[in-house]
Parts: sequence; structure tokens; C-alpha cells
Amino acid sequence: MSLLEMCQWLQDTDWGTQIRESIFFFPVIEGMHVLALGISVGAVLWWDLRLMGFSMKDKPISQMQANIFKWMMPGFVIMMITGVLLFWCQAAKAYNSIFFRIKVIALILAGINILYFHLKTQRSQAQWDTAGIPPTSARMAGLFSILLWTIIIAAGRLMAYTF
Amino acid sequence: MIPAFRPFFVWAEDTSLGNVIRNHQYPFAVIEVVHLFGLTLLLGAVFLMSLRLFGFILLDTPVSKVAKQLGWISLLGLVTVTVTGFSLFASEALKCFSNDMYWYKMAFFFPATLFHFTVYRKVTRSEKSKPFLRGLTGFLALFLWFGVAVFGRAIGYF
Repeated sequence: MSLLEMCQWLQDTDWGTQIRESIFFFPVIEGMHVLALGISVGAVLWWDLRLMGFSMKDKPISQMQANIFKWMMPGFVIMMITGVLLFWCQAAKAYNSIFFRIKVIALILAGINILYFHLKTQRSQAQWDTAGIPPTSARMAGLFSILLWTIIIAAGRLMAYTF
Repeated sequence: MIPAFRPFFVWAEDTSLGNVIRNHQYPFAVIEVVHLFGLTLLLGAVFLMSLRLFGFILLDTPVSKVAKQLGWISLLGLVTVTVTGFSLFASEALKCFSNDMYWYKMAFFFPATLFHFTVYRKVTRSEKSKPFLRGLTGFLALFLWFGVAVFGRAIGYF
């Protein structure tokens, strides 16, 4: 089965069809997707600005992380679950959308950015935890995060216009 | 729906801004994307500020200091959603006029904006406000802005 055929099959499952055709579930799921985006990406943006040395400069980075992360995780989980459901019910349409492809690539890059930051950059965090302006590698992680989320939001919204 | 406001909607629909957006393919989509960027900035900053008001995060950082760090983000977000929001509105003002969700959105938007520049501004800049007042302010800010977002999303479905 090709990727497109798999998407078509997914879209045609009972669940997919029911969500797509529901005048209740589809709007509610999409509404939750947008609201969760507002709070979780909005919160991650503050973290990115701290990493770039533009906000909360006299707060240690480890403390910012400890304070913000647990509060933005629910938003990200909601966004992921609702995002999977939205994809499920229109998988074949998404497959054919250039914006969906851009969004997936940007999401993967955002994941790599996070992994690289945690596994590599943060190893030396003890040395720059209290620095107002962290080293370039940490600032770049913040910058990439902002750029990638900008692309993810734009592509996500534009997808809907091609459906 | 407030029938007396109809002339304003007719005027908005007829502005050159409204006409340009309505008669071209891309402006509406692009403006809506920027509208979402603004929503992210505004909701995110208000969410974080409310967490501080509730006493959930950054307890060792004064409320007024957190407000100073987040203030420009929420202001940038609010200006962005207002400018892009009016542009989107102008391109389909008469559709909005007969859409209940649009009226609900405005019934949240104007109180939310007023609240933002009065009570919210005062409470978040003060170090002396009581925990109850802080909590109530955070709750109301979230309630009002979420109401705007929910009904804003709903406009497209009605």
C-alpha cells in the first residue's frame, strides 16, 4: 500500500468519516487545536526569548524551565491529540497539500532542534545557567524554535484553504 | 445583533481596505495567518501572567516584574489581532452583521480590551494587591480572551 492509499484508508475509516462529517466534533476539535496553540506556543515563545537573552535575563534558565514546562505540556498534548484526529479525518486531503508537507517538515525540524538542545547544548548549562545572554548555541535554539513555530502555524492555517 | 449599527457595517464593507481584501485571492489568507500569530502572543502572555497571578509560577519574582517582561508581548499581540481583525472584518462586514458568533465575539472583545487596560493593567503592576484580587483578575482575563478566541473560531462555522 502506498502512503497515499494508507491516508485514503485512514480517512475512510468509520472514525475518520464520523469526525469529518460531524457538525459538532469537527469544530470542537479544531477549536481546541487553536486554543491549545495559543497557550502552549505562546508559553514556549517566552522560554525561547529567555534563551535568546531578550526576557527574564536575571532568572536562571533552569528555573525558567522548571516553572514554565509543566504548564505548557497539557497544551502540547491537547494540540497533538486534536492534531492527529484532524489529520485522521482528512488524511488524503492533507497528503496532497503542500502546506501540510511543509508543516510536517517544520515539526520534525522543531523536534530535532529540541533534541539537539537537550542532548548537546544543555550539557554545559551549568556554566551559563545564570547568564543574561546565553552562548550562541543556546540562542540559536531559541531562534530556530520561534522560526519553526511561525512556519508551523502559518502552514497549518493555510492548509485549510487548500482543502 | 444590534440593527442600529448597520450603517457602520455597510461603511466598513465599502472601505477600500475591505474591497481590496475581498477582491483578491491571497490577502485574506495571509492576514488570517498574522491574526493567528497575534492570538498566540496575546493568549500565551495572558496565560503566563495569570499563572503568576494565581501563584503557580515564579513565586520569587515580583508580579510587577513578570508583568513588565510579558507586557510588551501581550500588547504586540493585542495590536496585531486588532489591526488584522479589523481588516478581515472589513472584507466581510455584512456577513459578520448577520452572524451571531461575530456579535458574541465582540461581546467578549470590547470588555476584554477594556479590562486589559484597566483592572488587569493595575493589578499586574501592583505589589500590594491581595491574592484574591490577583486570582480573580487572572481568571477574568483568561475567561474574556478565551471567549473572544472561541467565538472567533466559531464565526467560520456559522
